[in-house]
Amino acid sequence: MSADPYEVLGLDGGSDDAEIRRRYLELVRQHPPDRDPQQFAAVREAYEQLRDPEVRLRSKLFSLDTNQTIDAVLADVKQRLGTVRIRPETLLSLAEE
Amino acid sequence: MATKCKNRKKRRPPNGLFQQAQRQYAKGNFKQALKDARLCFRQESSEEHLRFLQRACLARAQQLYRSGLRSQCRAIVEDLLEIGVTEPSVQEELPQLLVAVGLFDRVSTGGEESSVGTDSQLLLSAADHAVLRPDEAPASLPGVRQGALAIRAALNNLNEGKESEAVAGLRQIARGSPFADWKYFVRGLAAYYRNETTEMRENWDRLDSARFAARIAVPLTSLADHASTERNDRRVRAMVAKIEAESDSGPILTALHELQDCLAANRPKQALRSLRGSRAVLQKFDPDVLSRVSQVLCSVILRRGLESLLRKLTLLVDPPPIDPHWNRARALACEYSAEGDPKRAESYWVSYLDDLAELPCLSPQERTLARALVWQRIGANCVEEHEAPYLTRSQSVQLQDRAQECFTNSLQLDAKLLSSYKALTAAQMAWKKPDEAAETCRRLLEHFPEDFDALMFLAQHHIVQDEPFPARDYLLRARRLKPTNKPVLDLMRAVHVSAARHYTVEKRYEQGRAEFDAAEKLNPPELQRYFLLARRALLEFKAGEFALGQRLVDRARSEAGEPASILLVLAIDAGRYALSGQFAADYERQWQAALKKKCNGTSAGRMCQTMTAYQVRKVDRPGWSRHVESLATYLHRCSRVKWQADDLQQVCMFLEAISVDEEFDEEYDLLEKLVRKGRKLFPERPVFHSMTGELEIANGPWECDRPKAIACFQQALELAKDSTDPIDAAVLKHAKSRLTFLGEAGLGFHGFVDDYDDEYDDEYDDDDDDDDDGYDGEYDEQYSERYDDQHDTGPFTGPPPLDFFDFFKQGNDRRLDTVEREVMKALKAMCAATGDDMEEVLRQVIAGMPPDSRGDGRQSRRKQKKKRKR
Repeated sequence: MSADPYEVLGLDGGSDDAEIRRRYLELVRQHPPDRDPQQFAAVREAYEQLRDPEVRLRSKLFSLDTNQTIDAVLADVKQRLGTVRIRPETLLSLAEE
Repeated sequence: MATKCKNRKKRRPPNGLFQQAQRQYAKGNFKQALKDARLCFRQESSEEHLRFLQRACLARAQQLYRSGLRSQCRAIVEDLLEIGVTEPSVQEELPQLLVAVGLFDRVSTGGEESSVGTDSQLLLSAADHAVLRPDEAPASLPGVRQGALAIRAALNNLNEGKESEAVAGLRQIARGSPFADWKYFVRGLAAYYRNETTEMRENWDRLDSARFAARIAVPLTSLADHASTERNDRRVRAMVAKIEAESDSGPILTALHELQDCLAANRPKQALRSLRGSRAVLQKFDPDVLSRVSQVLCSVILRRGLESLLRKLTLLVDPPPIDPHWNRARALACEYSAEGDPKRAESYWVSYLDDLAELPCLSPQERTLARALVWQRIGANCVEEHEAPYLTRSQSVQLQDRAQECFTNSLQLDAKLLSSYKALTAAQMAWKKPDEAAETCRRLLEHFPEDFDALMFLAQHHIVQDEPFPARDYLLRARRLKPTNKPVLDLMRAVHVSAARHYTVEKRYEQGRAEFDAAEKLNPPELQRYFLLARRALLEFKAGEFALGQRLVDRARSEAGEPASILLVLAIDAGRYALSGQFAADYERQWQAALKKKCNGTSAGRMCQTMTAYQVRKVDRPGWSRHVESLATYLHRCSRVKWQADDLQQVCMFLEAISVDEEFDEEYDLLEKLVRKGRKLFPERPVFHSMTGELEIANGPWECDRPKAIACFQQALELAKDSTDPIDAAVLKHAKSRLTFLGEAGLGFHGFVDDYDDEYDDEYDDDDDDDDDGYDGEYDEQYSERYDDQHDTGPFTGPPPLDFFDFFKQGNDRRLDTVEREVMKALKAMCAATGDDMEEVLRQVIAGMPPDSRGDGRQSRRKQKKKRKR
């Protein structure tokens, strides 16, 4: 599955046409095709998916695909847990597990 | 317990106890081995018994240590030290254990140093254990206690967020120190807390995997790096769970891993159960995580149409903002469910329309569009339901009306919803309502004046209606959009010719000539060029320019190289150009005379192409049957003709088009023969493979050789997929739909498909022998007789019947007498489910079938053929 277009453009799911376009233009300026072709392609693809309100809404209403995956949730949770301090006793007790 | 031991002692021979202890030792049952070893030593304090006792003690102590029972381990090691260590293998392994249980000093100060000894490995182990328990660090090993305290201090500093102090405290630890590993560990841990995975890995990659620091680093790496390969290791997961258990977040990762496993194993029911167990943990960690997980699970449940699981999920988690009352999810689950009830799905969608009216997460414009899309969805579902093969006529009408109403509602909400116009047009065409479809396209063009497909559709519609002038308007608009598009140019040429005929009939000859000039400028293909000349001649005859007309006819005949096709066009079109009956009769006579001459593949191909074109465009004219009969007679005489691929293709297409009519049963046999010939001579042409498959299907549900039909369509598909020929494109589309039909038909309601396969394949899969057709007569006979015998005497065990209703719907061979029992059963069940009157349904079914299929007329093609042979 391709990346969540909202995520690629750094927008939330409720963004309207104007916001989507503004953000797209911003990102295109940041990643011009001659300097950063990969990122540009990703931005372009994401914009293509979001530019048509009908396609956008149709996907929201009828698509069974969710931009969430359990792997992504896990990665996110792990990332957040990483910042939580672990007591030295707990850490050292792992050595004899 | 004591009694048991006594009994055991009694049972054993006195000299067998030692052997028994050794056996237990060898089996790994060290607990019993130690007991027996002690008993043996007590009974007889020999050197052998002493050494065995030492080994048993060591093995049991190591076992206890590995199980985490450190105090019990320590007690046994103390016993061992009391006994004394003389066994060399024990002397070698004991120091590690002494260090682990904190008894190293007792050995070194107790004068046993010579037997235990010290080495670098032992020092590393002592350092590791000292970090874990600084109080038990051996005082006899210099620097171990201080090093361990420094590491503990660094870990404590890190835990308090004092990274610089933690790192600074370890600077004095040299690279060769037994604590160097711990120094890297602390540095890596600092990077871990900073979320700098690369730095963390750089430090932890240097760790010795046999040491404690590396063991601790493994679960942390798995936490920090989701691509880590160790994360599926059960031991690592247990360690992660331990970290989680002592943190505020609770066992969230364990819960997510469990869910991940269930989903990976495609077990949504277990996943739901797991979510129920971990819901509180996820909610506590972050409600957003719960929402994301429920989205994932909901998606899986919907995809599999598991309505009961969805019901449970709705009780467990909050609905998503886009679906505040779960109506959308319920409708989707219904649609995707194998037993989904379309009516129920529709009722959920209708409820969802109410939800959408006030949905705060959408803007007002989006709400309107969303409602229009939902109406469109309901309409599309009705269209799909209408395709079901078992509908009664009243159900069919109801569904059409409902679909029409839904699409209208959709367009009322959003008059610019192009997809609704297109869906409605397609549905109306499928329902054979071309006028209504054209009207929908006109409404579409009001909002989208440059929609190419709609323009082309309307142009074609008017051409079929013999209305060239409105067709021309649409075509000109289409041509502005795609000036070089071939279908546009082909239609434009047809419009010019048709307009020329209209002008001729109205006696506006100059305008007619201008139309012909325009048609000629559009570079018609070779055959069309001759026909243009012939039709232009008809205009000139009508205009009284007989000499010019005759010259044009002569030119057409000479350029075409054969007269028959030109004469056929003249014979057909004389009447359409309002020429006197004498012209038509004269050309008819000339055509009949040309037909009597020696047969020729080119003439046959061209005449068939002409006749098919008139049939496709539904040109209504007198003499059609006569022309078909004459051409068919001619084709029957073409058995020795040397065919070109294009000509044979045209002939087969013509025969296929006419053979739907029972009148032309003989031509059906000719078609079978020519298709076999085409498949043999021109195997690269997809059309012949497709037609072979089609002929197989036409044998009816009981006699169709499904594997053969599938193989034919697959071959056609393979050959047509890269072709640019429009006929091949049509074959491609047809083959795809037929393969779908055959795939589904094999799982038809009879449901006994797989039983026959082996037997059938072995016995009958022999159809490509020396005969030119790849499907021989022997097969026919064998098959047919087998069919007859079994049908008459008992249950049919031959090839599987295809779904009768699919055949019924698709207009194939239909014979109630061959399937009556199953049909009656299915009808009964259907009527019970729908509440319809069975008698009425049967009447409608029979009324909708041609007379022969009511069991009173024509037999299957194969049976007829067999009869003729006899």
